[in-house]
Amino acid sequence: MKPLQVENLTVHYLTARGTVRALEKVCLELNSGEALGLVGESGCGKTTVAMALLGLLAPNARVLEGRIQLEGRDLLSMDPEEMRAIRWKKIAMVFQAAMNALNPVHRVGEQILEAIRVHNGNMTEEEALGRLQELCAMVGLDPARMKDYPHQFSGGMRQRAVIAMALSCKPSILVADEPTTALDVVVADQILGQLRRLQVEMGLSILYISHDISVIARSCDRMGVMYAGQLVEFGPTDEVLETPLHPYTQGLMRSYPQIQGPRKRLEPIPGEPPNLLDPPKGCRFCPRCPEDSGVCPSERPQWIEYHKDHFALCHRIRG
Amino acid sequence: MKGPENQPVVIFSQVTKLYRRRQSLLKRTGVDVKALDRVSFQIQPGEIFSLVGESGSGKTTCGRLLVRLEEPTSGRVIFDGVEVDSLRGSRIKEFRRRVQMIFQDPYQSLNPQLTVFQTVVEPLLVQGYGSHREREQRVGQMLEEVGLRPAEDFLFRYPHQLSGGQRQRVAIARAMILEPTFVVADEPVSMLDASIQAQLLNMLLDLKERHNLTLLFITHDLATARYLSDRICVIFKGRILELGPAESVIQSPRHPYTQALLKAVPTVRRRKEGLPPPACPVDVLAAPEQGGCPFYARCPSCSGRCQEQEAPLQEVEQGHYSACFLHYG
Repeated sequence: MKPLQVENLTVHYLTARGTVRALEKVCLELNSGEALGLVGESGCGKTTVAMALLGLLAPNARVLEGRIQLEGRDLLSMDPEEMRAIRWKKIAMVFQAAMNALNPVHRVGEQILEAIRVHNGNMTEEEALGRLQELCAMVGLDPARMKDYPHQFSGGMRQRAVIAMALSCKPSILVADEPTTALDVVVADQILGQLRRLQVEMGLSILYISHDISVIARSCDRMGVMYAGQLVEFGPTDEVLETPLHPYTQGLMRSYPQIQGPRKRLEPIPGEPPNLLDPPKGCRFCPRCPEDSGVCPSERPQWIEYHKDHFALCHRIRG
Repeated sequence: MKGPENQPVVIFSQVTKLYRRRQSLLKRTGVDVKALDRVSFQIQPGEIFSLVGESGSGKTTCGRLLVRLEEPTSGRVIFDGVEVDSLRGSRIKEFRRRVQMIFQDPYQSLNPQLTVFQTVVEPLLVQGYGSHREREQRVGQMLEEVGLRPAEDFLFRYPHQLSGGQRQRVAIARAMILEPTFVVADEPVSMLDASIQAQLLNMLLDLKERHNLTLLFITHDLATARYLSDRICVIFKGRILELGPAESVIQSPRHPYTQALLKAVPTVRRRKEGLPPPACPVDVLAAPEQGGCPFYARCPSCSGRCQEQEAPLQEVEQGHYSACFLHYG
């Protein structure tokens, strides 16, 4: 049984200005012990996926279609009580912006202990303290610093503390939403290395969510590319990066300045992502796409398996 | 104010900047934090000069000193032959016309209560430029030039009605409208998505060509610095550790810090690697201030000397400097 399966997830947000079509038929499968990446730009729906997985969708969100199965159990039909029992114990999340995820007026150690106690009601104080020690060792924090307040921590240490909180109840799945954004390159590199260690040593399944393709490239075995609420490409990381199929993925790859090879002019994707209040009728990438097969503006593309396990959502691709 | 050709436009000479950190809200006394420590460099006319460093390295302080948002504690900041600090009266106004700054966060650098037109026209009003009609025309032109086309669609929008990329275009239009000769761009694209970043980087290059600009580009990203700049200056804890032609610094970095930084640069190509070494319990970045080389605590090739003494910048190749004892043999 797969630890996590998402099928045809479609989510809309009801807002004063209309219905935002945030997610459309997104499918994902997370294997045991695997690192899976979702990459996409702001507003593409990647955080909505994460929130749906943890049952934390905003009150104005409506799930129109789809299923989320966690070890075979349907998440979307659970009541809040059942969800609470699963959240953090089975599936936990490392939130974006670790700076803001910690409470500034409580000591860091207290906050991690609270996460341990809340979810393990019958744990003694000694056991909880022992667990705190373990967690410190796991994420590379000095236990002596647990009496500090968040403002006394550097950005990297705060991120480590947030990871420790997420791991407090030994979840089998970790959702890491932009785990390294706002950190310096050297620190970001260390944090990603740490997560990779946890994945391999503890058999943790990790879903990485990032706007930064290089984070996914570094850490993930398989990856999906999201654009305007849809998954547009999915496959093994090496293959997607070596031979990107979807014009959006190709454009994204050409948008990054390179540190190696010749210095050549970047070829950015023209235009901006569509407004999801009124997305394009056919292919959602069509208005920015350099290629047009004629049917693109009017017809929705279908998933095509181009190679084994390498899919794309594009009219131009033939299996 | 015009100097002869090939005279540097900007000279930083032994610039030190201290910030006083108060120990508590009530106490007056505090410890000084050295944001910049005897920093010297020159920027030639027409070049793009990048300052690269991690957060807290002092790179932003350099930019703020240059546009006179801060004053140096000691040392001199010279623009076009004149010490920036000594400018008074009308010469400040002239200076502010010629030197402009683009800030990192377009969500904070634009006034949410002003329309695009009001934001971009303001510098013209301050400088007393032309008639209302002429100003309108000028703003229209400028918006089209930064890619907000057609300009009429954008003139009366408020920042909240714009995307991040569009906001940054407005901020660039505001900086460019007085036709400055020098622009300080402090992480102008780091808040934006990759595809929009590339659009704006290319636009900056085009603006630079068309208007004969000199640019100080401040970034934490070596790949972006390489893409834009003629020369790269690597700064760490307020000290310059390496400075040289962009390609030379990227292809053959001399200082161990630059080498470490380059190794950590993320790439879109998959990196095959084994497991990283076990977690080290202290956050190495938070090593306390000490004398000697600022990179000492993290340096793989440091010697005993590095702890007590700092190595001065030494020319290791034509125009390529590095501050490390390794080069002394």
